[in-house]
Amino acid sequence: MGGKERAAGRCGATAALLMGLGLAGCVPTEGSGKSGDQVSVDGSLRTVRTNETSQNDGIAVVAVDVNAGETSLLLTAQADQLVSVEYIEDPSGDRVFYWEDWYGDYSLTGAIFPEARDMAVNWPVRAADAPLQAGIWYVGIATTNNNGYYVNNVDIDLTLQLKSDDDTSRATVRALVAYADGLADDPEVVAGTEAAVERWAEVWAAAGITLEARFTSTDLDPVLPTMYDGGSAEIRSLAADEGEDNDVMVVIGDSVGNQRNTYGISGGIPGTLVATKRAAVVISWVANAGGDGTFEDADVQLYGETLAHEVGHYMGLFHPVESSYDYWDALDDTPECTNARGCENNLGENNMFPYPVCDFRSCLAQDVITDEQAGVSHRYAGAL
Amino acid sequence: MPTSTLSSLALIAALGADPAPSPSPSPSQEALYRALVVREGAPTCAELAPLSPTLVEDLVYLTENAKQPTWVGIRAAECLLTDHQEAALPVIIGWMGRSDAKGFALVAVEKLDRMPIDRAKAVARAGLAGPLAETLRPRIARLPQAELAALATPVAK
Ligand SMILES: [Zn+2]
Repeated sequence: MGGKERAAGRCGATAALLMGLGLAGCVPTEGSGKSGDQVSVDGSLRTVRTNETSQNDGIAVVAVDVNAGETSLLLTAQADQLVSVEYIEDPSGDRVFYWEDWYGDYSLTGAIFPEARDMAVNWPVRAADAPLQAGIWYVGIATTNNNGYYVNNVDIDLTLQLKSDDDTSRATVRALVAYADGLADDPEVVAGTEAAVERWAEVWAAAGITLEARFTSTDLDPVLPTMYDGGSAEIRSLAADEGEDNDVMVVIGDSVGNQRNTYGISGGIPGTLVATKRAAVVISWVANAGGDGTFEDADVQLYGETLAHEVGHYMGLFHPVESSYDYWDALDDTPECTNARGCENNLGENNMFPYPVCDFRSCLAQDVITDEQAGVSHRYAGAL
Repeated sequence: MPTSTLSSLALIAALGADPAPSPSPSPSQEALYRALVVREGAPTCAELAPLSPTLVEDLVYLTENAKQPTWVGIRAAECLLTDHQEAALPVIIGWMGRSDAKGFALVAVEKLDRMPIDRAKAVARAGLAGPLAETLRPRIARLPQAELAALATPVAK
């Protein structure tokens, strides 16, 4: 154990200083070009599998060799301790991201939170963030225990995915929609889900994203694992067996087990494209069909907007305002409101609003995606 | 376990197949609805209690009248199943026998492990004897409690 609380961590600054002095410390021992790395290229997505070990300050420094023309990085880390992103430095040594700068009222990435043994961070998130440029970038990954202390010498499996795509107005996202055991045999569930996926595609089309969905059946228990307490080995196996390294998996079940009152969960903001225990969005079809268990037109619309919303989280989008009205996303074109009336008036039709605006019988359509929200989605490495 | 003064008669009335016009929601029903409308991170059942002096009646009202968003009724049903099952038992049994309550019945099966075994068996049997049997049987057979799972497993003669 490092014996140091994460809030006091300053390894990155120390690393920069030590690198300037030509000394060791947090300086990366090896980077993405080291021997043993597995590299594959699929269209405009280059994938590098490597590993790194956290040093005596509880931070692993990952060197990422960015090629000219590569526009987005999705880094996925898996370890046997909690992992989170500490900082990102560009090739000139400028720290373009530091976790504590975003540990407040505005949310940029969920990767700063040490909440699981896997983590994904996508860069850049916004147009305002430092764009990728060719050269060696450094990403600091913190390894911490459940008490929030840094832990040394933790081996981390890493997948670096680099996208070459400078068109942020059009993209295709591939989705694998996986039914839990028995649901693919239920005509009501299949018809409702397929219609909802059409609504999801419609919502995204307005943001310049083409959804390519394929469907599969599985033997997963319909009481799905929650993504909140680390995900599950079944999700990782399913992603490895049925998924690709460029698609997002959405698992449809009856309910999300042991996570009362939550019926749609994204495995991270953002989520990963590779097989981890949280490599999915999990959705309860029952919660979207309602007490009668059937999909009427209004249910299908809501279900489709829920799919767009949850996968929107997976691609890095936060709620423009949380339902407590005191936390906001980091985007400039989602108005900053502070109460129910003001937020519903300004953002009630936004797809990422935390709740649908309804009376007991009907809800407003929630299909607005702002330009900056679309930009976040387009910068996600899985938007190709 | 919290109980309610709600009479079985009132509950059975709430089950009525005749869709008489619903009364407008009361302030406490509105408050519960507002609390349950969020997509993620809704309050727990215990956290709902301060919002209503007549919680069970109001939750039953939501199951019958909150059509959108769909998860409000489902969350209300979950709260009845976990924290108010004794008071709501007639409603719960009613769901198990109604083809138009498939969603509630599926939630009930998932919550059987939160019930005393005799009550859970009664609820499961009601489901297996009704129009939703085909849907519920594989879910009941999958339950970790052998006594419940056995109800859904044909016995060899
Ligand atoms: Zn959300």
